[in-house]
Amino acid sequence: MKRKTKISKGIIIAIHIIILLLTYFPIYFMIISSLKTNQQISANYFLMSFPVHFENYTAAFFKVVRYLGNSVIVSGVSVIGVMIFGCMAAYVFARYKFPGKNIIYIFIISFLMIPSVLTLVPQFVLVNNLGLNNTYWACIFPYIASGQIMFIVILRTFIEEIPSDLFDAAKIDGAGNIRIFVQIVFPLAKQIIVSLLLINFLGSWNDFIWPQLTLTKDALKTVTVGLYAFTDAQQIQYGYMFAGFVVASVPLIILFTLNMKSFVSGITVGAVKG
Amino acid sequence: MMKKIYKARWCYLGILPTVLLLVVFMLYPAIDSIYKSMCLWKTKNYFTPQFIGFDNFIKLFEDVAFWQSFLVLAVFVAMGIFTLLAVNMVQTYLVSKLTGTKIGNFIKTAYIIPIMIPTMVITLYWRFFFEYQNGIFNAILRLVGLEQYATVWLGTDQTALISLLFIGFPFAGGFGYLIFLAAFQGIDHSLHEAADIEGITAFQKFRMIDIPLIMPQIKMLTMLQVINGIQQFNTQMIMTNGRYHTMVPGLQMYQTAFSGGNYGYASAMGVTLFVIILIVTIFQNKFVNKEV
Repeated sequence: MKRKTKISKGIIIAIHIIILLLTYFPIYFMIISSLKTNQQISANYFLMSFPVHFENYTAAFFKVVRYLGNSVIVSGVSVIGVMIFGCMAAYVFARYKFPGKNIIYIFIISFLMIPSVLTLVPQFVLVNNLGLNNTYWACIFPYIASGQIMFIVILRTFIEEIPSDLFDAAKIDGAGNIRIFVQIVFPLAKQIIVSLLLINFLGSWNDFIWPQLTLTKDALKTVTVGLYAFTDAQQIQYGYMFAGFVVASVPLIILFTLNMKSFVSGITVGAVKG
Repeated sequence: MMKKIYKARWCYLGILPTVLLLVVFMLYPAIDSIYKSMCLWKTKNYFTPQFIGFDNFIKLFEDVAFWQSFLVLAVFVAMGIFTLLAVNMVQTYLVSKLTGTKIGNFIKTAYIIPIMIPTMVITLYWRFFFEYQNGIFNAILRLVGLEQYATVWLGTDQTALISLLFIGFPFAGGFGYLIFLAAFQGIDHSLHEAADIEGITAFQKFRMIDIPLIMPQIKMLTMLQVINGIQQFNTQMIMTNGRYHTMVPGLQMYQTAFSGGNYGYASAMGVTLFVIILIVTIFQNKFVNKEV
């Protein structure tokens, strides 16, 4: 019996190693190719080859860094907006009774049913008419509008589960709502807030169609649109292209590595509850 | 009543930004979309759409290309469900079997890391892999001496669709992985121990204990997969732009509006897709409620 489980464990590990090798192969390929010239790529396709061309990175960095900056602004401001408006609304819905509360709440969550394919064309026209085209706001407003819904739904449930004694005690001590939120709700809900915001950030960072339509000026392009245009050029230097891919991946890697623990445990709580 | 509303004025103020953003950037476009789907609205009468009733829908109903694109979409959605349940879920189950061991923790983390690679980077290196000159598939074929099978993978009717379905191979990790992992780890371990005493095989355990217990997550992820699958067309747009039998309805709509300048007709496509998604959602919700 013992030996049998050991063998089956060995098989499971072997399967994982194969899947992981296949999963990581493109990343490996991207990194080694980013250090090569076109000739080196065709001569030595699967392995590292020398000399190493770090200058691909200098060139790619200056091309991609502006797109990255745009993405940081668009996704960053959107996420801050989702956080502020989402926390406000979730807190109000969780803690207060007021006329029309349920109707307004149903109104808000019903937008989860509205797919982006329905709104794409008129939303583009709207943004155009408001004169927001080729400004960051063209992306930021719609991202906050759609991103906040799930945030409110999950955070509201979470706040409702906090024992009301805690709130009462804080009120007796004379704490205002903002202080209650910062000192009681936030420490308890930190992980779930962080993971919801990261998912939001990831969504807007990876979005392609909408910024492709609304941010057409090269100086405003986000990283997805910028990379797409970047690879469209003729006579492409692949090393330079792959270096650009690596540089474009860095911000998300930093952001997620820093928040990995909160992210994973937040998702865990959300997955089991939601 | 008025007094109550007045007393709660701070509550309304708290949800005002949320409601305002939703009304302006989602409700208005959604209603506008439904109205414009009943208009003759093209680039030349951009500022003066003309109401024409259900003409767009009648035309759409007879649009063979549009309905054909649903066949392609069905293939993509089916593949999405297959990779989610047959690959992602099983792979995650095998990760959960190693919980507690050192190598198990290493493997668990190793599957999370690729989430951080931007989708556009993934799409673009896959596009590179399919290239004729420098692509990886042709490189492998040349390596093993099967050069005669080398082809422009994204540029023929026979290979384009299959190539697109292959993107993301081996389909492990990702968002589904995190949710499944949480679900598997939440299962009470004593159930498995009881099953061991009964002498049940590993596969039976998986089918009779684990699957029923993670049904909520399976349903949620399948539903998300279907709803997102119906809407998504980034890959098709970047890889083939809908040529070589890879056109999906979302991309058809996009091109009708932004390349063809026929906004009214595109809105009718959007409304049709919305209705389909709505039907799928209601159908799945009913199904879920019945089971639980």
